[in-house]
Amino acid sequence: MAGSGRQLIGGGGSTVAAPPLRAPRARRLAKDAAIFALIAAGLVYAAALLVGHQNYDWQWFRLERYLYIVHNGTFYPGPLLRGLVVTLQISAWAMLISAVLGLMLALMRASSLVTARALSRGYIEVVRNIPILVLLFLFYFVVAPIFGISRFWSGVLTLALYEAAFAAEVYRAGMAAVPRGQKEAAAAVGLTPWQGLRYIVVPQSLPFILPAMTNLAINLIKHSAIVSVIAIFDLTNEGRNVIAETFMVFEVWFAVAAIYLAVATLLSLFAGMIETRTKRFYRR
Amino acid sequence: MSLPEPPFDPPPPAKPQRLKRGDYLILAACAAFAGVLYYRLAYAIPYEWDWSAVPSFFLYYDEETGYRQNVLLVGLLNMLRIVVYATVLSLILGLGLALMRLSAQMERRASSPRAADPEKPN
Repeated sequence: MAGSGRQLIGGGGSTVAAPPLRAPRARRLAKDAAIFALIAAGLVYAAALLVGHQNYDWQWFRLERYLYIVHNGTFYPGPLLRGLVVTLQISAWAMLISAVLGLMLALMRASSLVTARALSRGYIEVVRNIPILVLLFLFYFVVAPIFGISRFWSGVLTLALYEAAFAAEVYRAGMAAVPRGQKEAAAAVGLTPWQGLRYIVVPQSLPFILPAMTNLAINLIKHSAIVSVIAIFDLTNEGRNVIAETFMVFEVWFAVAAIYLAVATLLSLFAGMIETRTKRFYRR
Repeated sequence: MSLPEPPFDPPPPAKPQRLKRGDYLILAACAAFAGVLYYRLAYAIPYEWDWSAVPSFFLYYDEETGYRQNVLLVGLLNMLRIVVYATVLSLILGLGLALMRLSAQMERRASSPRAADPEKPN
């Protein structure tokens, strides 16, 4: 745009002039520093309130034995680590089931059968509009006794059924992101609808689906905390137990939050890795 | 002069949806599930249904004061109140967070040579 003179913002006949010269650098820096100091002071004040709260007796040193114990050179996981294992087990099973069920729901949604579409649509609408906690109570107190399902599997299945509705949307969005022409081209070169799906549409939708699915897995791990209300001894419930035993309310909740944070961060790092690899693979 | 015919068949007119064999299979599966559910409910687990008690969980009639709200209605109203407050708070907090995240971008734009001196061509 050399020589175009005065630069206008929002071209196309608009006459809004560019903003005036900015304030001097020193004054801007001072303003930024003031804002930063204000926020930092607020945070420090909050932290100080927390530390001085009712003369709270911080006892971080007592936390270690609730994570693990090393006795005679053998490693024994404490309640918190055992809870983490249960959380991961529940999340893994629920992820597996919801991935399969979600795929079924997505395929039913795209089916040519009226009842399949209606069933999938109805399921997704119902599940997405009921709080997951209420779903868990419905499953644990109503469905589980009817079919004789154990406590653990009640938790797993509730999470799976809930997350499957979202997984179905992920699959559907992923397949919708592949241009329609691809499917038509597949039909034009003589592939059957199934072959077109298998070799043309699904491979191209993977870069859309994989990041969203890992996001779903992270959500699942976080949502799995609710199974503690039906007395499954996951990380959250073990945390509550340790608190009941030791009264270290602040330390234990901080530790539990840190463990969830660490697991979720690891998963999202992993997701980022997968994403870059898929992108590289498809660029070749 | 008329336009040339398109090289493809026009889409067929929408046919009324007919139930196919797969539809009947799905309906049969649903019916089977409903049957098992009914069997388990009626014969396998002892449960006394009493839907007639449910309305009184929302509203009940008091001899002296007339209709009064009961726990479920109170809970519903509390839920709505919490939703309203939380929505307002989240809008405000969200705006603050978004502005903070965007501030780097706005700073960059404000300090770009174009904005710094509008008279100078790029």
